[in-house]
Amino acid sequence: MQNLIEINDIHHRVHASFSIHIDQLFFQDGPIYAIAGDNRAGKSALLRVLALLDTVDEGRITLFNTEARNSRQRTALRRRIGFLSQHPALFRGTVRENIGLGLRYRSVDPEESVIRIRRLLKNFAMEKYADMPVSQLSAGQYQLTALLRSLAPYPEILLLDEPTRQLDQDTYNAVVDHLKMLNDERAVMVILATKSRDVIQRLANITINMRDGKVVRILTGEHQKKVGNGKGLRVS
Amino acid sequence: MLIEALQLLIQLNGAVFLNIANALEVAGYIIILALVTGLPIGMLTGVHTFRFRRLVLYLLHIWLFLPATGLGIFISYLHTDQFISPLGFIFWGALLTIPIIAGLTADVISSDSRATRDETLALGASRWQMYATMARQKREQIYGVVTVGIARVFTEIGGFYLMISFVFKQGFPSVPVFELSNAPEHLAVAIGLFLFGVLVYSGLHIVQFKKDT
Repeated sequence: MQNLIEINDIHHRVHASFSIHIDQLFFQDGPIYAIAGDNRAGKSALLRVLALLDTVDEGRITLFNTEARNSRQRTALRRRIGFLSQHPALFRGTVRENIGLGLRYRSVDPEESVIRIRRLLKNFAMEKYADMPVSQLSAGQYQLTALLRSLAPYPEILLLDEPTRQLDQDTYNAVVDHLKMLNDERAVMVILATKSRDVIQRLANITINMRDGKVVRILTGEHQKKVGNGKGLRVS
Repeated sequence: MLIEALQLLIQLNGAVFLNIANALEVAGYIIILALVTGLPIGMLTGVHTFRFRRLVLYLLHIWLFLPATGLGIFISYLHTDQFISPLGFIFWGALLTIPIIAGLTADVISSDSRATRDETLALGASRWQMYATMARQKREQIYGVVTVGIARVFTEIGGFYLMISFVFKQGFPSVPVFELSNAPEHLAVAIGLFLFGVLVYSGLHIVQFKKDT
């Protein structure tokens, strides 16, 4: 297993009263990672830093053994990542146009784009909404469209912030199964920030607990199930 | 005076339309210069956070409200005769219009720029793709900003014609000088009416475009 993401002694000031500070954290290909914690634990801030949307004040982050030193390198790395923010913003247009946006940025062949979009819409029973303006979507459909938009470019790393928010049960199950499939069959690294114990139990192989901007605990293996009652092992 | 001005337009008075053509040509150059300069300044200021961003926005808004008379007084201490020329007028007009385009574009873009910017970057957009996406998201508001800029140009040109006709008693160097007996103020009003009509038509066209999209 190789380290796809390495965090070394980072300090990032999110705003005046909150910052995240992580000594060392490695994400290896293989497991699905869950970043868990209460509000203001730093989950979203950590994901944004991993997605190269925010620059750390100190320390190093490397993705695919590369540290982004300029905007071109950042763009190149971001094109290998799929990111879903906690409050995603879709752009004016239809569901189909939004899902295809990342593909257009990467200049993916139009025919290939059509195939990928169609496949995603079909997998999540969204075909009949393909040409609907996003302004007319329900909250769950909006969230799902944003998620599909991040999946369409076939990223190697998925960074998802509360991906199952606002989803109905069937869609929730479909999303969980799809993420598991991506990890098992296509070796996509999945890192999700979540407060949902069900998502952690169903998906995560490794859970990283955060509090006040720091990693306080890392749980692996069968000890995942102990996340719910707050007890766990400290992994050295 | 209004009736005489309308008569000049209805009779398709050659001098009127020659001056209108000159005025539109100058206005066109001003608008192009203001757009080429103001839109990028507004876009960059609206999208990016940088150290003196607030100061830049503040100065743009101060500059935006700079009255033409204030600038005119400043220019009068310079080589005034160089500004009573199409080139000078283009420069002067652009100085008044750039802050409108830049300042209002920055306001329009910055309203939800962080979320939009982050989403586009997260999707793998390059910097230019990000700018294009953000501009597309706000295209109607940007059209509105451009319309306001065009309106400013036309009003300044109308005011300039009044000024040169009443004060200098002459037209642009490239058109015949008007004799006092031709009552140049009617000419200025006629030109102003025509330009106002162009402005209203453009505005209606933009509103229709917005409806269609």
